[in-house]
Amino acid sequence: MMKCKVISDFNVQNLINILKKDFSLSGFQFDLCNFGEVMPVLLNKDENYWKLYEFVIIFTRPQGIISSFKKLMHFEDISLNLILKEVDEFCSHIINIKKHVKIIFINSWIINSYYRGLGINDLKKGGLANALLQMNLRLIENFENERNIFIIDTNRICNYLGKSSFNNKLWYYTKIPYSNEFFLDFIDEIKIINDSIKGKAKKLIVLDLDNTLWGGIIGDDGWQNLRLGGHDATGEAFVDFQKNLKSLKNRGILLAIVSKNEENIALEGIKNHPEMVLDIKDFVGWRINWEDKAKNIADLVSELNLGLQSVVFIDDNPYERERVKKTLTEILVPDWPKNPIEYTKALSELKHFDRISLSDEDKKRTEIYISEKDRNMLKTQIESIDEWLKTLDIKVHIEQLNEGNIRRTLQLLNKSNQMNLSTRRLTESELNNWMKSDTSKLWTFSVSDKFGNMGLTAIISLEIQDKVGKIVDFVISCRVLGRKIENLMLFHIIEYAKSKNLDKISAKYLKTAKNLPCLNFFNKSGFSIEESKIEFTWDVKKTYPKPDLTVIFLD
Amino acid sequence: MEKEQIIQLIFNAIESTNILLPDDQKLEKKLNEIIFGGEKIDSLGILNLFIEIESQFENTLQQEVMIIDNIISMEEITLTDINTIVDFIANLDDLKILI
Repeated sequence: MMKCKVISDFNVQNLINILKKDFSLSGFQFDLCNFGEVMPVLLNKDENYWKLYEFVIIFTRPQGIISSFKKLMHFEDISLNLILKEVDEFCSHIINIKKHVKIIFINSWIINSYYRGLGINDLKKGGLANALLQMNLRLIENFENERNIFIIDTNRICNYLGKSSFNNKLWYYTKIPYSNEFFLDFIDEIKIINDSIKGKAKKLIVLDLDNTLWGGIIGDDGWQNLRLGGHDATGEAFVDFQKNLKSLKNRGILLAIVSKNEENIALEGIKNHPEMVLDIKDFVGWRINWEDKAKNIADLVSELNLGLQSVVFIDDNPYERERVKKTLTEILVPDWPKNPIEYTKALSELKHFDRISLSDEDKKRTEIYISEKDRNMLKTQIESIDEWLKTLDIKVHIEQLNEGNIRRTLQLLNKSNQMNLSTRRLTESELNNWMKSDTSKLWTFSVSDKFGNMGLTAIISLEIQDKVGKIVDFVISCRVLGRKIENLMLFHIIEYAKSKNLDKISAKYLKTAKNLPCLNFFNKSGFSIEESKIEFTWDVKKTYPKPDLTVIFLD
Repeated sequence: MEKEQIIQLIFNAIESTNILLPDDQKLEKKLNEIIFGGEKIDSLGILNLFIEIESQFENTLQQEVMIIDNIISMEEITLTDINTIVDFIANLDDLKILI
């Protein structure tokens, strides 16, 4: 049973009740502290107490936790420095517990908008609004480098919901300041971060064309007569919608097309229309034909080696949406507005693309997938796999774990399922702790070829015990699978074992619902299979065949 | 205000309050559903329900309505199920004037 601690200066029972409903299926249990006991709880330094919790939610009101701010609300003479000092102290207590818990959620501070403070001067020095802005900024600065502390932007929720964020009746009768509507949005933010941590963020948007990316039917109207840009409100709305899609693409979200059209006509429109924001290179793939869209999507998603659960399908046609929703139940198919003027808003309200971190690989995701497509096209023209690999001019950079690659290493470790020997999931502090021992080693593998750079896509780690090197993690992104990177990883670790005079390398396969490909690889790897059928060994006296790849050591 | 309309507003409030209750303890939209002294909803839940009922009336009538305060002022709370709540609200002096 995973446990969550909720710490607050107000009654959080409504929040807990909603959380329980939302997380009940995931098996969470929620503990709360008495309200008003925030500091005593945060001051608890007992590591074992905090280790009980998967995550901690700290939800406070500024006037409830920062006493000098409360005084400022009564216009007592309080300096901003004193307020910020209190903020720093509060943050330092949270930083003290962060090493013991996996994730901490904390809110940015808001007060009810009917507090006018100094009125027109409230944003100036001495005003409540001014102090609150600086307090929130200080909160952000304090946690800027903390990778397991997430600040939930309650200002955004409050701006979105307006007056209904707060509920005076709830406050006076029950000491709950916020409405249930507010809590629902707050919990949404937690769920999104949680999904992102678990690698469940959406990765691909599949788009229809006619009346979705542009106004009109290209096959009937011709690309010259589409409503896209120009002095036309609807045309402008389509352009804005495309701009927002392009922004998502720049953040690492993949775009694809599934449309019932003639492919040559549709592509001609994309290439030639002067107001098209999206270029054909912005799409990782398309299926433009008259077949069933659900079938086309399944086909495309499989080609891209993604799971259906990572897909969002956007189509103006309710029939097509319903068909996909019913057929491919894992795909997110949002209700879509009839009026194109609302398209950008509808897209922006989809929170499922949020990621806890954005790596260089994420930003280049589209280019990486397009390169992959080119690679596969080449593959179909060349018969032998070795011959094909030679033409790719693959280069592999190997380096040990360091500050610069730890973020991507953790991403790979915590998200990869299929080519994963042990599916060990670790937080940054857990990995750093594990690495502290001289007997623990981890190498990262970054791969590039003539089509592009795929980035850090594989890791292998070793634990040495009595002349035996045990492979603990053996993880490869599906992006580079089948390019002998996996063989290079084994070659590398065996060579290392030789240099350290080890006798044996062993790898124990821990079965999950998804990592059968890893077992299949080890079965064919040349390693000896032990009786258990899940443990593989290599006698270090023997040399493991080195794949014909260019290797560059960075250490 | 017709009795049917009062019932509808209370049912709307039940719907909103149900987001706080586990699925097997959700309040049903029926007149003999027990609120006071029942097993589905605790005192905080009852307060949530009545805050929501007040809001429903205020939004509909565009006037402030004080239902909870009237309940708290009762010497002995005689309310049990939705039926009794409907009658109580229908007979509130504040509401009679507004209606």
